[in-house]
Amino acid sequence: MGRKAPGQLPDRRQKLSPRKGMKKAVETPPASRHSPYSEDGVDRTLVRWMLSLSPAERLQVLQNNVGAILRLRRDTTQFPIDSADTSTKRG
Amino acid sequence: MVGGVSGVLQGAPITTFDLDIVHSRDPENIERLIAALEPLGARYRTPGAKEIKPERSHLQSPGHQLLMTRGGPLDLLGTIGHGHGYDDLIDQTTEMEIGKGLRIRVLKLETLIEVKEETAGEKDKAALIILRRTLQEKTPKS
Repeated sequence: MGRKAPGQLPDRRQKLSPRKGMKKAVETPPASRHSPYSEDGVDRTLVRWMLSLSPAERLQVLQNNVGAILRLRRDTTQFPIDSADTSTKRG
Repeated sequence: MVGGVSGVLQGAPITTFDLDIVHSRDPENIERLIAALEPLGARYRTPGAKEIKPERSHLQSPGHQLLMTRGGPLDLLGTIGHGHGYDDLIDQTTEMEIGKGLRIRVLKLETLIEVKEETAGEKDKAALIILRRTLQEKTPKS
């Protein structure tokens, strides 16, 4: 049990458990009070950032996002990841 | 303007690819729309109808005309939700300037949420969560 098999990752649980005399790790604040996410998973920081912009700036953000997605889609079509360097993986 | 872009203009951090408009189906406005769609090269984007131009009779219907234009996808909606047309919605809009003196009428966030809730599909449900949070953040806390 105690010996580590070749290639096996070391068991770090012992190192991570608090040693005698060590202070207990600081607990993270309750999610409802400090998390950037609402309980249904919406990033509130993103909402507040968007609300800080003018309508024209919000539209620009959307246009940038759509442009980035379309460029990514075009590039993926031109250079599909699946076809990249398959020669070494086959045979 | 209704749909995702109207949500974005009011601060919702969502991404959408089409522009949704509920248009007035008055004969005069239909003429203006037909004239505006021509230079945009508007055609239906539904499979099997990609060469078909929108015509007056289509735009007079309460249905949804899903078009592709040179500027991108454009949805002209006769009605939305449970049959709300332009005349029902116009009082629930707010005017916004989106640059260079260009002003548009946008369906208020509260009403957009109500309408989406009426007929929400899976895509709408995901957007609704963000729209509700945006409205919550916008609304001054008492």
